[in-house]
Amino acid sequence: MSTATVKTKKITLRTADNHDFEVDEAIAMEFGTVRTFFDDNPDASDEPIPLLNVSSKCLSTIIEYCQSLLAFRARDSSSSVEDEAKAYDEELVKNQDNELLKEMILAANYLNMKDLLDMLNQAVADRIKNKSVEYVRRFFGIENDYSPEEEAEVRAQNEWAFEGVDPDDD
Amino acid sequence: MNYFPDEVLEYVFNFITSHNDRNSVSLVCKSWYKIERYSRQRVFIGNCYSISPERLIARFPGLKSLTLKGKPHFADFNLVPNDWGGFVCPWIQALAKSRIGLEELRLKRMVVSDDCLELLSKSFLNFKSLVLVSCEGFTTDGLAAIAANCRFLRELDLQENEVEEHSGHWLSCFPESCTSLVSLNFACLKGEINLGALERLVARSPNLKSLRLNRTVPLDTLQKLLMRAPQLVDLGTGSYVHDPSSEAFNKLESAIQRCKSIRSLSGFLEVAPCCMSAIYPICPNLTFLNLSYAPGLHGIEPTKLIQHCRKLQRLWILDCIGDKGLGVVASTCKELQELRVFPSDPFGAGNAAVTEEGLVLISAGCPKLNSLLYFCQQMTNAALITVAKNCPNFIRFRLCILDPIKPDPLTNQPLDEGFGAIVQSCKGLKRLSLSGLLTDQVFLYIGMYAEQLEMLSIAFAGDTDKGMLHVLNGCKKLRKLEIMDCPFGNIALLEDVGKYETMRSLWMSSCEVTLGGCKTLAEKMPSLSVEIIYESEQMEFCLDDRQKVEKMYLYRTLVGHRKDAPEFVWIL
Repeated sequence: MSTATVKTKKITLRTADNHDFEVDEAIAMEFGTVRTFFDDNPDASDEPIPLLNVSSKCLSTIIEYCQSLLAFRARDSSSSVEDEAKAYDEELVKNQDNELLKEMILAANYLNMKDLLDMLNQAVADRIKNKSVEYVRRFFGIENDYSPEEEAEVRAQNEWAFEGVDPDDD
Repeated sequence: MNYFPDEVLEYVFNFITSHNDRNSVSLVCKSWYKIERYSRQRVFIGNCYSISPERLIARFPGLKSLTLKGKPHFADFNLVPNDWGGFVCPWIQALAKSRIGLEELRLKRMVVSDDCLELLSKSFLNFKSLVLVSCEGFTTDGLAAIAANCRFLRELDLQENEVEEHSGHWLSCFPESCTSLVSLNFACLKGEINLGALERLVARSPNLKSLRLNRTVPLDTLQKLLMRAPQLVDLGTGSYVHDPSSEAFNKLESAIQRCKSIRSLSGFLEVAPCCMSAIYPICPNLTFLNLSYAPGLHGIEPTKLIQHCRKLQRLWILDCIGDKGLGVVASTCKELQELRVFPSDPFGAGNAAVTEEGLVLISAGCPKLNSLLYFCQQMTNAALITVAKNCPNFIRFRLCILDPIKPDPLTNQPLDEGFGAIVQSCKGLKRLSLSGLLTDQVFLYIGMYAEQLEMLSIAFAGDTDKGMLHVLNGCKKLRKLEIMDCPFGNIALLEDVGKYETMRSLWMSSCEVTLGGCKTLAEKMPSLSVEIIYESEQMEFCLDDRQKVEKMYLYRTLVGHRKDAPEFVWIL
């Protein structure tokens, strides 16, 4: 019995900084925006698809993520595989600095990739957990536009009324 | 430059769930405040008088889940007269008038009326969850309204409430169309309910995970319920009495064996020890066991049961288990995180009670222990020092020696050093209750070492104002301080009045503070409500500033003095 070589269709993606990435169709189809593109343009030629809001650094990480995602899916759905997949996700975000993490979120949002977006958002939430307001501002690069009085008022309301749960309230 | 569009921010905020983190997010900048407030769904209000329902609604229009706490903690010891306050009605009325789609309401130590339960049941189409803990003021008629009108009810959880019981008919008010129940707990009710209605309700609730029965539900009904709900994760038995040689008991044994998901077990409100063997098959999977309502289980019965429970993480028992029994717990339950030992006989001579020996055994055998409530005959410094060394991870440490000013029986010394060791070793300690003979020294230690302490309960302790000052000056994260029968007076009260704006509340009863001292405090700090609570006969006598105040409760508030205070409460 001969094994036929399946020719996987390749799709070219062009990043914001004008790099072209050639990927398997299966991977490109993980991107919601690409799927929509082909839905809207069924006769699309093999021209590169422009991803205006995604840098090459981001895209290469995202492609890596998709490749592993597809590999994990191809295996069974046992809990040990799930654990491995989770560990892979954690490793992926662990080494990213805050800037890249934020870029990835914007990219994942632009590319309409819900699972990746969920995972990245959780990573960001974990990074700002229990941190001060100043830390959160620095993390996101946001300038404080409260006047001191306004800020004091919100702070008082937060702390006096809408506080954290008591340690003995299970 | 990274620019996050609003919808991406909203999406990120979905993953920020803790109240503290959401509060931080709201302070980042004004546009974040706006996005955050529209997307916050869960709100916890630790003191219902700190803010008004109108301001809650104005800030969080997307509110789905509200937790409210009313009376101060010492209300549990009957120190707060009924009708003091904590009425939930204004909250429900305001929410009902607004467009808030309330789905969950959790109340602790609040006064709840039938009228407002009915209003609640009719005002929110998607209402799913009602949890009432230590509440009062309602009857079974109010429960009937909830059962009848909340079409998508998932949770009805009643814990330790004082309910006036008119009839058990309320349970029959769940309509046939109600199939959404996930959790039903009516263990605190005393009256009979229609057992057939209960069976049918359970039978049509495929998602039921938690079921806690009251003592009027007999064992053979329990068997039928378990046959219908083998998927239960949390079970509270009602009455657990039967003839172990009977057919019904055999059926129960098989029913229990089918319940492979039960992880949490409580109840045994009436119990025949000879029936406990039916429980053994599910013991190896239990993570929570509550035998504190089962005084009928004495001698070695609790121990026999616990020996099968190797995975236990939380254990609530009565002190009749004794030190030896605690030794068995220590050698069996290596995963134990929380232990509560309740007094079976708070006023008696208690040779059944536990001592410091039991606690030491537990600390040695259960390294993961982080939460303790321990009513005991006696305690020694040596034992506390050992416990502190063995278990540095305590988050909650509540020790209640039945004779409240008992010294270390071995040395006759106060227990200052023992508690000092606890606060020094347990760097994450958030809640502490002291007892035994204690001097100002213990408060010096607490002020020095208890950096994460949020709640401190003191009775019959200390020598001078210095004691209280050590705590107020040292514990930067202190939120709730409750003191009874201690020699702390105006000097301690007034030294740092600004401190009380950083705390949720202060309770002082039978201490040395005077009316004049409280008045001075109220004058200096308009952002605090300083309440003097009288027993009704006292009103005429206490206009002298030099008079000691029997009960004072003060708290910070954003909305000024409450308008619902009864006659016996004077807000300065």
